[in-house]
Amino acid sequence: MRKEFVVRSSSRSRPILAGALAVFLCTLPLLANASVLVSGSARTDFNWLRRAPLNAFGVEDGATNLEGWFDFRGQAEKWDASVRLRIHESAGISDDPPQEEIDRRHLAYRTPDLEIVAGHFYTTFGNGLVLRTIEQRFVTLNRSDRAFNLDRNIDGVMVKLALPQVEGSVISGRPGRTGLSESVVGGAIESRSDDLLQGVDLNLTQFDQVTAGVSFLRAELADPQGGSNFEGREEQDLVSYRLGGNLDAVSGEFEYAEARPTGALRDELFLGRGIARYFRVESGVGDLAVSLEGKSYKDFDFFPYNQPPTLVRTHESALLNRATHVLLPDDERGIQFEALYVPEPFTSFVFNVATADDSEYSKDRKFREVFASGRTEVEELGAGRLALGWSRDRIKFVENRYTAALELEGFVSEEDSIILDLEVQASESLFGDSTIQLAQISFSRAGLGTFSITGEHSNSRTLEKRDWLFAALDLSLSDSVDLTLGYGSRPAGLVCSGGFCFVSPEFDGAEFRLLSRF
Amino acid sequence: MISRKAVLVPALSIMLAGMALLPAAQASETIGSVPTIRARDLKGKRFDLKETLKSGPAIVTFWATWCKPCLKELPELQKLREEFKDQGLSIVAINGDGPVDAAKIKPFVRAKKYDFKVILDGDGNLRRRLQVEVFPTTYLVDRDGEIRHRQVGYRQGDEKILREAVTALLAETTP
Repeated sequence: MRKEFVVRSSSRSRPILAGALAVFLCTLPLLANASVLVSGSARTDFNWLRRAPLNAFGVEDGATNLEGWFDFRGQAEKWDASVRLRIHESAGISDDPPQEEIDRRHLAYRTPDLEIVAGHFYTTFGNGLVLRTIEQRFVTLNRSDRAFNLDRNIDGVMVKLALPQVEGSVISGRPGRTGLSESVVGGAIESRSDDLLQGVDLNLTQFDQVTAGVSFLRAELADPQGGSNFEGREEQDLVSYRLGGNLDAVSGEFEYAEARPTGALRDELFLGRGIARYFRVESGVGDLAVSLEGKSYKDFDFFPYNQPPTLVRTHESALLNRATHVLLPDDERGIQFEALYVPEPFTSFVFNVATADDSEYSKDRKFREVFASGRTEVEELGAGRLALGWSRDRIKFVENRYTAALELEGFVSEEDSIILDLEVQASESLFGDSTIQLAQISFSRAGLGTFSITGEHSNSRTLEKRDWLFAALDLSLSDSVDLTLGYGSRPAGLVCSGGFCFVSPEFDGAEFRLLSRF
Repeated sequence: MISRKAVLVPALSIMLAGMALLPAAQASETIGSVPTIRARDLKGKRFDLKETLKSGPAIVTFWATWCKPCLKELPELQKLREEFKDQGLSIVAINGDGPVDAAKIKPFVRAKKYDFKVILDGDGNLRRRLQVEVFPTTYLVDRDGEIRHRQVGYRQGDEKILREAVTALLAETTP
C-alpha cells in the first residue's frame, strides 16, 4: 500500500494552505518584535522552452513552466521550524507533479548537546558509504556525464547527541519525494517513498587526534526492483567501520563497509554481499599540500540511499567538469592523488591524477585522468588561469580526451572587471573524433551584477544539437533580492556565471528568476 | 486564459521582493538574524558561532573547493582577517563539498595558509538554515547575531564593499 508523506493540496486543503500563508504573512510584523526569529525566501522561476530538452519525454517545444518556492522559517530559543510551499504551473508538459504542495517541513529542538528533528532532514553517515542525503534543486541531463544528482531527503525523525568526545545519531524515516518536477527528467525519477530507513551512527574522538566510528542502516525495500513483478518487502543492511587520525602534519581515515541483502534479495535475485573500502590521507609541508584517496567497491551498486566517494575531481572548468567519470560501485577500484602548491597567496598550482578500474578486468583500465592548472593574479591589473587535462574513459569508449581552459580576468577599475573564458576539448572515441569549443565573456560590476554571453560549438556527428549560445544577466537588486534573466540555449552541466556556480539541466529558451529573502 | 496561479506566484514573490526593497527596509541597519550555527571544524572540534561572536563580528562565507569565484574570494577574506583581527573580526568559512571532495579541504586550507575557522557542512544543513542557494554567499554578522551585510556571488571589487561594511560596523562599537 502506498503512503504519501507529503501534504498535497486538494480542493479541501487549498484554503488551509492559503489561510496559513495569509496568517503567517500578517503576523510577520508581530513576530519581528517578539523573541522569535522569522526568516524565509521566495523564489519564482519562469521558463519558456523554445525547444524541449533532448532526453525529456513528455515535454513539448514551447512548453512553459512557472514555479514558486516559498520557504518560511522560525526560530525561538531552542526551537526552530520550517515550511516550504511549492506552487507549480506548466503548459506543454505531461505527467506533472502536484501543482501545490508543502514538500518540506520540519520542527527541531536544538541545544549544544542534543538535536531532535521531526519532518524532513538531511544527514550523512561517515563518508557516505552507508548513508548520504543531498539537496539538489536542479538535475543534470543528457550531455552531462554526471550522474543524476536528485534531491534526496528523509521524512521522519532524527535524534543527534553531540558530546565533546562522543557524537551519535539515530534516524528513522522514509525517503522524501524529490522536490523536482518529474517531467524535467521524463519521469526517470524513481520514487522510494515506501521504503523505510532506520539507522545509527556513532563517532568517538580521543585526545582530539584519534577518531573511530561505526554506522548501521537497515532499509526495508518496498519494491526492490522498482516496478517489476518481484513482490514482497525485503531488507538490506549496510554497516561500516571507520578509523581516523588527525595529527598536525598528517591526517587520514579508513572506512570499511558491507551491504548485506536478506531474504529473496539474496535467494532469488542472487545479490551477494557488497563490500566497499575507502581511505584518504592528507599531508602538507610549507607551501605544498597533498591528498591521496583510495577506493575499492564490489557489488555495492544496489542501495539508493548512499553515495560512495567517486574519487574523481570536481573541476572548476565547464568542459572538464562535464566529462567526468560516473562511479560504478558494483565493481570499481582506484585512487586519486592531488598536490597543491601555493608559493604566494594569489598564485597556486594544482596537479591531480585519478584512476578507476575493474577488479576482475584490471587490464581494461576503465578511467584515467591527469589534470594540471595554475592561477596567478597581478594586483590591480588582472588574473589568469590555465588548466590542462587528459582523460581516458573506456566505459564511454573514449580513448583520449584533451582539454585546455584559459581564463583571463582584467580589472578595468576598482569595481569593474571583464572575464574571458576559453575552453577547447578534443576527444578520440569509438564513434569518431570530435572537438568542443567554448567561449564565455562576462562583464561584472561589484555589488551590482554580471552580464555574460556563453557560446559553444561542437563538430560531433553524434550530437543532435551542436551550437549553443546563451546570454544571462544576474543582478543583485539589494542585499536581499536577486534577479536573473536569461535567453538562449546551454547544455547541461556546471554553469559558472555572474560570480557564482550552479548545476543546470539542458536549456533552450528564456528564463526569469526572482529570489528575495526576508 | 491566464490562470490564477500564474498571477499569484509572481505577485507573491514580487511583493516579498518589494518589501525588501522598500526605503524603510533599505534604511534598516540589519537584514535579519543569523540562526544557530553549530558544527565541527576541520580538526573535529565543536564550533558554535555564538561563542565566536563574543569576541567581535564575523564574516561567514559558504564555499566549495570546485567553486571558482570562492577561490578568488577567500584570499580577500584572509586579507580582511589580517587587517581587522586586532579589532575582533573573525572569518568563518563553511565548506559545502561533502564526502566527494572532502579530502581536498584540509590540504587546500593548509597550503593557502588560511588561519580562519573552516567549518564542515557536507550535509548542507547550515546552508539551508541561512538560505544559501549558490556558492559563494557571504554574510557580515555583528556581535548580536544580526546580519549587517549579505553578498551573493563574488565579483572583483566586492571585497571593497565588504571592507566598507566591516569598517562601518567596527566604527559603531569602537569608542
